[in-house]
This record gives sequence, structure tokens and C-alpha cells, in this order.
Amino acid sequence: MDENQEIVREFLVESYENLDQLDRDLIALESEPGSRALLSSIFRTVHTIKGTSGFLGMTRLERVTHVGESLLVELRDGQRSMDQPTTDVLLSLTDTVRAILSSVEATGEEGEADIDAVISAVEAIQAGPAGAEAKGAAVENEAVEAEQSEQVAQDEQHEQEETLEPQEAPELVEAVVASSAAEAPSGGTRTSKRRIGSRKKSGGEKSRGTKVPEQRPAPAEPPVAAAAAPAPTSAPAKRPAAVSEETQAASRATGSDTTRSASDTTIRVDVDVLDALMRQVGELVLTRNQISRIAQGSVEQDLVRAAQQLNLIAGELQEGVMKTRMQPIEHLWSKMPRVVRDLATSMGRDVALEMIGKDTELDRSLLEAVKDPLTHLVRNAVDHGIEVPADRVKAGKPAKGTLTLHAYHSGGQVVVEVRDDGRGVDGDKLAAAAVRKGLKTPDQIATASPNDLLQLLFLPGFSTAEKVTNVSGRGVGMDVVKTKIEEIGGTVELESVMGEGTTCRLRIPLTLAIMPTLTVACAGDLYAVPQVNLVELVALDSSKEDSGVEHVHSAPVYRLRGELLPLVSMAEVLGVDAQPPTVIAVLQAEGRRFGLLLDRVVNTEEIVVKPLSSRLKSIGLYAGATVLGDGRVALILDVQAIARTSMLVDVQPAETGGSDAEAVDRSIEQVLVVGVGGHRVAMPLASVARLEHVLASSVEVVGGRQVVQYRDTILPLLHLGTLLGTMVPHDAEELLVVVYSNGHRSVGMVVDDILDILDDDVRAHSDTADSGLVGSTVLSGVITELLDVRAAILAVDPSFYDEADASYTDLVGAIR
Amino acid sequence: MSQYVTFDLEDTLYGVEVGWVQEVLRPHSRTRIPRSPATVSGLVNLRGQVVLTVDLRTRLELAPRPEDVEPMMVVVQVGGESVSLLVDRIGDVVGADDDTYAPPPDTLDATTRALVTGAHKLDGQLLLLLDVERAVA
Repeated sequence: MDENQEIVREFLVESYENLDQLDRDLIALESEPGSRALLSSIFRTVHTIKGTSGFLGMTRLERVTHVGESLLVELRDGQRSMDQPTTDVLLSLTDTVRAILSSVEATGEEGEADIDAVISAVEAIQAGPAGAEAKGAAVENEAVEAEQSEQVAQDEQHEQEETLEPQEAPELVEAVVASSAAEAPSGGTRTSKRRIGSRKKSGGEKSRGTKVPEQRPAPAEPPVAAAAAPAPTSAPAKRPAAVSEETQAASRATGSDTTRSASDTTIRVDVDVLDALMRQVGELVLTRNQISRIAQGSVEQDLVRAAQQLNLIAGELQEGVMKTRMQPIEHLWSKMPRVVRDLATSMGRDVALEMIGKDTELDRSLLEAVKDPLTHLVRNAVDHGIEVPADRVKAGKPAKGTLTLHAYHSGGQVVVEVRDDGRGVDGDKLAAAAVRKGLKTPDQIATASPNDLLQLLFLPGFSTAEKVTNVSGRGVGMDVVKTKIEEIGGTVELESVMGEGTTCRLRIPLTLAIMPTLTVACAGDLYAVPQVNLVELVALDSSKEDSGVEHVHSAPVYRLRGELLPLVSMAEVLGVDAQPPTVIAVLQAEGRRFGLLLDRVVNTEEIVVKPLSSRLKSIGLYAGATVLGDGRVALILDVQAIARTSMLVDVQPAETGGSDAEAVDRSIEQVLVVGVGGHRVAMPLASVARLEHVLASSVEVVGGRQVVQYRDTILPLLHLGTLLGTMVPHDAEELLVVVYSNGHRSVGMVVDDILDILDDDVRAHSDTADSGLVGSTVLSGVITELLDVRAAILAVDPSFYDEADASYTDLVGAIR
Repeated sequence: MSQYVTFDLEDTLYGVEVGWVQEVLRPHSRTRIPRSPATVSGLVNLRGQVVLTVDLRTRLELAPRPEDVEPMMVVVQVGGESVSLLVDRIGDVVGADDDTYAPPPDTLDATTRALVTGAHKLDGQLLLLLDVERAVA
């Protein structure tokens, strides 16, 4: 009984793979309707399932495949040509077979899947008019059919042979091998699989011995070979072990199949075994880390050498074991043509699917985890992204939309892009929907950047689909994609250009079990920060009074290369005693960057992730735990969760807006307040590049303008006092200069004092049309004038904004 | 007749049926978990496995353990997961017959009662039976 179960299990595994192949072939056949190679491959697949199901006593499965087979015979022999209804019927046939198989898998019974509908559909097609070329081909077909029936007879012979006990097998195996070899040029994967079955039973050595070259027949007759040559794609997906060298030689000789050469070398291994192996290697890596640490402090040369050796071997072993679990992403993608086709047909879209980087490899478990999100994204792209052909033509795009799947390795991660050239995401629509659903206030929307708007898509319960379709728009959408991807330590990015398309980028770690991290110290404890989230490290000069950390209200920010980086204090997040931070870890999560203030960076380490008990997960700060090289336990920070809880208040629903103490509220603009001749003047901080002290003696006059040499360029200077008519330039030894930059151009504005950085509520502005000012407002209880930065800059450098891209100019316009 | 691993907490004798107990160990260094519930007293490295530690003193709302008392770790298996319980002092493995069993005494405070399934009247001492699953939940 056990043996029977084993056979059924193998049959299931094999059939699922064959069905995947079938899907691919059928889709391919639509674009290449006459391809005999594809038809033959399809026929063989169905025939194999039929044969085995008959042998295993699965009568319903046999009936379904039987009618399918007879339709396929007509197609293959040219009595009928391929068309849309035929493809549909064959695809639904595949689905039925799949349903029966999954029922067999689950219950051991064939189940109640409705086979009659499919059977009658197939029969209806067969009853319909046959293709016009049918008659002409008939004569030739007789020969083909004769060959075919012979082949079928042989197949049946195999089946009988395979049922025999190993001890009785040798001679019969020989026969199998002979006939298999005879079929080999035309036989495709099925025959080789068959032979594994028989070989397993008879013992490898014996059957290998029986494959004597004399029994290899001459290549099959030309018409048959042409008719039955397997599609090149049929072999590589699954290539079991047993093709003998002789057979390969035969293949090469006939030139009909060269893709089988590597098949000697593969075996099937239970995934559990690999998982266990992976765990053990994980432990080994930990132990190695421990030994390395001991050896580092040792003077014992032998120990040091042995530790280095161990280091090397463990590394290689880890890599090797990881490789065993790697599978090309093609495994996942192979289902996509079918998904896209079905969806495009039902939605009235015309979509071409492009797949780049099929061989990109990914850990098996990750592949499994990415499956649903990826399918969802593909569906989204077809449903929401790509327009109906008429709209596309109207928009000046080709009627056929393109959906591109692109996978590649980048920085120790696998990146999978789903790109469509559809209508793109309408930020305004998103904004409106967010307000309507009460997820955002209009004020928050008004100041949100385009990227912020895209992030709205990831909010739970957010869907902009105007009508709920069968396919998408039921509110379980991008947030689930995001959660799933984050669960496996990955990230999701979204880019969209209106009218041009949308790109969704999944960044996935290479493997789940071992994670490169940065070990950091906070209040005496060590924590691990996943390197996936790490962008860069910035050292703070703690010896200086002003470490570079500024405060907007109580929220710390850091100016990094002209951009303001919101900061989060790790000690505060963890609620432990704060020490003066020395390092900012710039992290990327939730679609934006922020800096984490750390006490100290210890080192980088590859760690083995240990699951955390659910009670600790609910704290929402930790993604797991690990054992460090010195045996200490360290917690792994959940960067996404920290980003969500501690700073990204504006992604939260509106009612939590009260807790924005640590957040940089985006509905409020930050301004730099400077003193000019006794006045307080504010200017937008966003475009301030730097604050500089310039020696008055270094100011030169060129063409009537004051300039200084600054970082190998010439920086034109503008005395704000002169511009505002408040005061003439005074004779200080040192000038305080606010540098505004745009691209390569910079302008320096000379001011008297830097007073503060403040939040400026845009709504509180009042208009005072004074020269050089756009208005005034009350900041910290003092009336402050708002500088017309654009006019001021143009006064010294009329071409300052020429290099600017349109959006920047728009932005400045908006500020005005 | 059931066998119990016994231990002291504030001079009261508690017991856990031996089936739950994986091992009893000297204390390991614990990694604290900021923002975790008060009853959780960190993570320990148990031969490469990361194991959660629950201080039974906090769990039972007893006074904090005096500095000079070094706690012992009783590692129990609950729901396939190892959890280490911190106790004051480890006692003997005690066998107790069913006829010495009694429901939890009414004099216990509510917290303790909720975590105790019953008691065995031993010679001159009461053995409180800890509800392991609740204690670590």
C-alpha cells in the first residue's frame, strides 16, 4: 500500500509540473497556432497523465484526459486548427485535471470535480467544423497515426512493465530501455521520467548495464521526428536523472534535442531535508562566529589558523547549502502568462507579457512567499494599470500594453519589478479617496509629496478602483502585498508616472535564514539592524558643541547633503536611558528615509534569525532575535515598524495626529529665520544647502557683483540688507552666508544672524507687498517677514532657475 | 502518584509536574527586552536557541527578589516552545499521591489563585501546583 502511495505521490508531483508546462505550451500555441512541436508536447503531456491515471484506477481523470487527447490528436494531425475557443476549452481541461489532482492529493480520492461540462465542451468543439486543411493532410496523417498508435502501444507496455517487481525486472528493463531509446529522439521528458521509475525499481547499476549501444535504433523516420520533436522548453524545467550517455548521443546525432545533457546530475530531495540542513548550517555559522571571536584575542597561532580555515569552510558550506535551496524565479513566473492571458481576456485588455531575468535565483521558501504578492501585482497591473486598447490608442500608445517582469540581483538582494506602461496612478484620485475614507485630513493631503500619495496605496482598506471587479478592488490589496513582503524581510517600492505607467519593485533578501546585519549598541545592549534597510552611516562629531543635530520643536533633524533627515532616537524608541549618540544610521523604510540615532556601531555580522515568541512580536519593535558571536542574545530591530510607530505620523489615520511630538509635520513648512538689519526674515529651509562663514577679505568683485571662491566654484553674493533696503553692508570681518543651491548653481545670501529654524504654518501668512518680501507671519510670537527667495536669487543670478526642472520651478511658484 | 519538580518563591513551595520540565539550570546572562511586559525578564541563549525568561516573582506579583538571591532557571516546554522560569531556589523532585490533593486554598490572593491549579498537603508543608501554561501566557 505504501508503495502505491509513493507512486501516486510521484505521479502528482510529475503531473503538476506537466500541467504547468501544458499551460505554457497552450499560451505559446496561441501565438504560434501551427506549431507541431508544441502540439506534440501538449499531446504527450495529456497522454502521460491519461496513461498513468488509468493505471492507478482514477477513472474520472482518465475520462477527462481521454477526450482531451482525442481533440489533441486531431489538432496535432492537422485535421483541425487551433483557435480561441479550442484554447479556452483546453485550458479549462487543464484546470479540471488540476482540480482532480488536488483532490487526490488532499483526500486520496478523485473528488467531485465536474468533469462532464468539460467533456461536453470538448465534444462540442470536436463536433464543430474541422479545419480546412484537414483533408489535404489526411494521407500524410495515416502514417503519423500509425506511428502514434505504435508509440501508444509502447507506452502501455512501459506501464505494464513498471508494475513488475524489481527482482523480475532486468530483461524487461532492457526492453524498456530499448524502446525508450527508440523513442528518445521524439519522446521528450516523459520517456526519461518513465525510465527513472523503472530504474529505481531495478537498481541503477543493472539498468545502466542493460543500455547497450546496439539497441539504440537509427533515428526515427523524418515525418515522425518532425511531428513529434519536443518543444525545446519541455525539458529544462524538470529533467530527471536517467538519460544514458548512449541516449544522449542518439539525441545529439539526430539533432532533435540537445537540452537533455545535464539530466544525469539531478535528484529530487525532500525540502524538509534541505530545511534541516539549512538550520544546522545556521548553527554552524554561529559557532564559527564564536570561534572566530575567541581566536581573535588569542596568541595561539594554530588556533588562529584553524579558525581561519573553519571560517572559510563554513562560508563555503553555507553558500553551498543555500544554493541547493535556490530556484530560478521562472518557477513562479511560469504561471504568469496564463494569469495575464485569462485576465486580459476577461477585462478586454490586450497585454504582452515580457519576462526578463528568468534565471534569477531565490531561496525556495522565499519564492513560495513571494508568489501571492507577485500574482496580485500582476493582476493589479492588468486590471488597473493597462488601459483598454481604445483608450491606449487615444493616448497615443500602442494598443497592446506591455507588462514587464524583471528580476535581478542588486546589493545582496533580489529585486523583482512589475512594470506596466498603463495609465499610472492618479495622485489626486488617491488623495480624494483617502480623504473620503477618513484616512487623511485635507490638510495632510495638501502638503503631501507625490511619493507620500503613492504610499497611501499601502494603507489597509484602501482601494481606488471605481468599481469592484472580480479581480481586484476589494480592499485587500497593496497592504497585504506589503505585509507579506515585509514578513520575509523585504521591502516594496512604488513608482508611477501619470500616463506612462507604474513600476512596483520588490526587494527580497536572498535567503530567510541568514541575514546580514549591523550590530549596534544602545544603553549597553546590542541590537541588530537588518542591512536591507540600511542606506548609510553618518558619524556625528560629538566633541563639538553643535553635533549637527537640529531641532524642529522637539523633533530632531539632521541636514544630510542639503536634505533634511528626520531623526529618531533609538534610546527613546526603546525607552532606555539615552546616551549622547555618536552615529546616525540612515535607514530606508516605508518609502522614505530617516536617521536612527545610535550610541555606537559595533560591527557587521551575518546572523541567524531566531523566531520571537508572539508576545514579543506584539511589542512591534523587534523582527526576531539572534545569538551573537560571543553567545549573547541580541534583538533584531523591525525597522519598518519603528518607522511606522515613531515618526511617520502622517501615514497614520488622521485621529492619531496628536502624537506628532517626534514627527516632522509636513503640513507645516520649515523656515530658516535670519536677522537682517534688525528685522527677522524667514526663508524656506528646504532649498538651503549650507550655512557658511566667509572671510570678508576673500570677497572679490567681478563685473560689478560681489563673489567669493567657494568649493572650486564662484559663489555670487547677495546682501539681504541691501535688497530689503534696511541697511548697507557693514564691515564685519566675517560674513554669514546662507547658500542656496540648484543643481550646480549656488547663490550666497549675506545675513547678519542666524536666529532659528522654525515651523511656519503656511495658512497664517498675511500679504504685505513689500519689495523683496512675499508677506509676513508670526513665528514664536514675533512678526517675521517672509523673503521672496526667487526674486532675491534672480537679482544676483538671473539664470539660476534655468537648469531647474519644471517641477522645481513649480514648487517655487507654489511657495510664492 | 505524580512527580513534581519543586521550587521556592518567597518561602512558599511550588511544584510543576515533571512532564513539563525540560531542564533546570544555573542562571544565564539575560538580554533585556525594552518595552516588553514586566513579567518578561529577558532572553537567554540556551545552546543556540533563544529562550524567553519569565520571572515568577513578577508573574505572581511578589516582592522583587533580594539582590543576594541568585535565581535558578526552570526551563519548561509549553506549546513546543521553551520558556525559562526564574525561581528563588530549586527543591527536590517530590512524588505526591492523589489523596493529598486539595483545591487551591481560599486564603491565596487572587493573582496566585489564578495561576495555581491545586495543592498537595505534604508533611508539614503545602505544595502549590503551578499552572504552567497560564504562568507563561
